[in-house]
Amino acid sequence: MKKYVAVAKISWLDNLAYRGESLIWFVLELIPSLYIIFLWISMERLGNLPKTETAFLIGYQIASIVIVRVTSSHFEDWLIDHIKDGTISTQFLKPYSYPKALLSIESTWRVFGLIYLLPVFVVFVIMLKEYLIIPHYSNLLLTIPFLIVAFFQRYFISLIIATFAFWIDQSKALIHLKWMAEGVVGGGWLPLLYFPQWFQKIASFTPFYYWYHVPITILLNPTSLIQVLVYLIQGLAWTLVLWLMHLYFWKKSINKYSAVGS
Amino acid sequence: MNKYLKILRSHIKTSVMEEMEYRVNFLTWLLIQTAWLSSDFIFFSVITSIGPIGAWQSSQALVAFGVLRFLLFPVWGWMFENFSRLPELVSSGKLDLLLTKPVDSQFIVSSRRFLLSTGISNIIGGVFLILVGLNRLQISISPIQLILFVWNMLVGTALMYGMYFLSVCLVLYTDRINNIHHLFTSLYDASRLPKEVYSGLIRIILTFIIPIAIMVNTPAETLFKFPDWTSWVVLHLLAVFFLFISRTVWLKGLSRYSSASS
Repeated sequence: MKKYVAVAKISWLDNLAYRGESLIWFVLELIPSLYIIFLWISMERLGNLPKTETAFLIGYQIASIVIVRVTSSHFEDWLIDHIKDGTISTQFLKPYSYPKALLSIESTWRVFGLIYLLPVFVVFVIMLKEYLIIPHYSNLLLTIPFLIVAFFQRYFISLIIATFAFWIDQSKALIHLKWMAEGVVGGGWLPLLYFPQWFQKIASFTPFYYWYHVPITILLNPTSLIQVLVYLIQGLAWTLVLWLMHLYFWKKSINKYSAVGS
Repeated sequence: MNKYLKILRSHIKTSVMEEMEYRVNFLTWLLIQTAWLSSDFIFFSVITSIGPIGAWQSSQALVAFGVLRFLLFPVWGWMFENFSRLPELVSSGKLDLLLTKPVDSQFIVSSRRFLLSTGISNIIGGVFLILVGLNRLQISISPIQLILFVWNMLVGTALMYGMYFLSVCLVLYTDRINNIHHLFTSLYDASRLPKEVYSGLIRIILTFIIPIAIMVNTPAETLFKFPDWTSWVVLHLLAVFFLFISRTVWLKGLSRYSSASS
């Protein structure tokens, strides 16, 4: 455990040293949600959206900003490069499990990322006060386990995608598939409520459903405790499946790996 | 001038040869681009089903969406392919090699690679969406309108180039911002909305300071609206301004650049 705490400390210092980069990552996460918020406000002003619906949609976007900040993982992009050019070999010489070290780095990155959210929330409160929905504290508490579930699911999926680089050349294409799936099927771009029933049904059979739709539904809508428990069991089941998949793929990949130049 | 055309031709030829060498990779990216087009279209259809977007009817928004997809080729197939390598060239010191070549440094960093697979699906998809949108609007395009549209697309591309290059030039002034090249592409997505969506100070900023609100709007509106001469003048002036300022910032940045290894 000590080793991973040390890795987390190094990661924290890295974040401080390269704060320009982390600020840009935050801005990149913020921009898509901001222009959608402007779109909803403009639709409401033109009379095309009722105020209550606008408030819900804006609340949805703000919640999705927090979810992206707290739960997303993007390391597969550079990890694929490291696998392909062989620089990952140095990680195998170190006395730790690389996936666990990555988990430690990612968790630190997410906690550090929360710092940027605070000033943005102040701006939101000032600019969007007429549309803001303040969730009940019990809903807030109920959402937290789902954020943890989403974080682990995203971490395992990122790792699974990265391990494909041990086998195939086009593994980066899978990253795009993940982005599309979380945007459309997961409800990252728009609430699933605006999609046809059959589409929502299909989405509910995927892990992406638990990344945006479920946490935001619990946060903004009154949801029965039974329903929350059902969602949680389903989300945990998906996390377990993804954990087992990542273990399987990682083990197989390490056995197959031969470094560039060896 | 002849020398530059020859170099450009050979860069395009090499890029095409490289892509054709890895045919499976080429096909995979073609599929990914088509999947992006489809998921973007789903997103667009859901939004327009809620109500008109700003001052545009859904068919007009479809034309603008087609123009946006069309212009993705210069953004991703040309600019991103070259500018995404600049931060790494600077931080690793490899830029030195390019600076020693007997050609303009801005030209060489802007024209080394092209990605054909991005072009095929976006150009075909973009033209298809424009034609469907115009058909729904029951508008036929006069030859003069077509010439003006093509001209505005070229000016819009020049403006995008100026803005994008200016943003990546920042790597010459900082220690490490290896993700700066994502900033413009993220902003580009916001240009799919009409400028009327933004109000007050945000609208002024997005029209004059970070003019994303006009770089796709103005060419698109040439096809379905009476020419708005003010927008035209602003588009042309901003294109010249951003080309000039990005050139100046690049040259100033180079004068203070010291290689990573020196």
